[in-house]
Amino acid sequence: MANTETALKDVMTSIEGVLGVALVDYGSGMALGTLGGSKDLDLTVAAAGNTDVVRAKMRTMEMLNLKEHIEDILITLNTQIHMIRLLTGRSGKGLFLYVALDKDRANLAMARHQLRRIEADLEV
Amino acid sequence: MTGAEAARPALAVRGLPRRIPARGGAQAQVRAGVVGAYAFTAALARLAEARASGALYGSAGAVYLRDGAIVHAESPCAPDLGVRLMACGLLSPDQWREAVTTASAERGVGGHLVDTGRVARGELELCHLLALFDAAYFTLLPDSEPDRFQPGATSRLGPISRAVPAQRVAREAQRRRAQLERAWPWDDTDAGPVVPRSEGEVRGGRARAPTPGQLAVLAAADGSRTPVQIAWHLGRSAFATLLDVRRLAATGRISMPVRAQAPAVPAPARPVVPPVPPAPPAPPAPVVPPVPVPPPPAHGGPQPAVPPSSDPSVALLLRLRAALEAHL
Repeated sequence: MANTETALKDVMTSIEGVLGVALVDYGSGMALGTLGGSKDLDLTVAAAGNTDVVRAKMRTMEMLNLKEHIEDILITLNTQIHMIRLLTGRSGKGLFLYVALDKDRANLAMARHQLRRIEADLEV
Repeated sequence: MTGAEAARPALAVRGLPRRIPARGGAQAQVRAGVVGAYAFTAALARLAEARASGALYGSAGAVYLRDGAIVHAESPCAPDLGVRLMACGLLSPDQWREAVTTASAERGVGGHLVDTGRVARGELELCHLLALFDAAYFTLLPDSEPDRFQPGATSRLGPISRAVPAQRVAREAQRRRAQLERAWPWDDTDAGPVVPRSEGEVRGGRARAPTPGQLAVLAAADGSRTPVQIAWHLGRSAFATLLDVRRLAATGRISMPVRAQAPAVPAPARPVVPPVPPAPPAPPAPVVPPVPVPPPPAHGGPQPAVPPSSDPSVALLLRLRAALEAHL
């Protein structure tokens, strides 16, 4: 059983190469909690902006009549990977975890695995 | 204060209760010198600076402080923690009622729910934080006025989330107002009933398909529910519902309320269970039962120069302009 703060700390410590993490409400685009980040990575701006990414994908799926759920969204940059993981728990609907990773240090498969575990911890 | 009340500007979101009835005997400690726009926000900032603890009641809700940081907020417009927990299926109405009546003053309702294993701490925190920011948005509206501050008053819910700095809450409320403004700059849709338009009336619908959240709002819109009532009905954020309704208005999926016959706005929907009574010695719950129906609204706050028209062509042109601006 974790609270939001420990869940965010868990992301920072258990995933290799994390630059920053935010727990975001996509109804409002607000970051409920952030950890890490830097002057080059403003996590509250990232939270608001990535809300539009999630909304656009959901609308697209609606248009395509895809009755699926988004597990995660990966965005690959030159030196970073940005991962958006939608929370699926009953109380977590409408929230996503946003994680920025250093591409050289991060292991993508491991990061996804850890994030899935942390998400489950938050809601058990 | 009665004369000043008559002159009070209308709230930006129509349908908001104009004030939560003052409770007997207490002094209006925060009112002195605070008038005009953002009076509540200013009073809150002063209390935060003084690291005050207690409850600040205002015309549109209440904010609870501990050492100058916000631990809880409630507004009759925003679905509270109980409604949210019930809506996502974590609690039945009976379980919530039981928690409210049996929780001890020290542990609070939140502590009781966690202790009895009904809700995990993480879940509770998430729901509470979301409800806090949602209620704070309405409580901190520009026209919201502080009523009084009661030192030492605490919420019956007990400590749940980590306290949030007042400045952060004020900044978030500001950001949300700007977001609504960007989505659709008129507040006509905020208080009136949401009336979906039929598929045939919606042009270019495929290009702007609604999101699942907007579809939920459309499905709950029965032609008489206001956005706030839809939010209570669905147990979701009232702000997110206002935003979805404005986006639906911008894409022409809902009918514009006709300005001339301003709808008699019903009070915000009531929760399924009685509101949480505050811990003694706090006065009756700030979320008061029957909220008085506000008078037909006048427009408050800064308004765009041209209001939406009931003429369909003009309305279409306005929507077009809003859509173009949104893409700039």
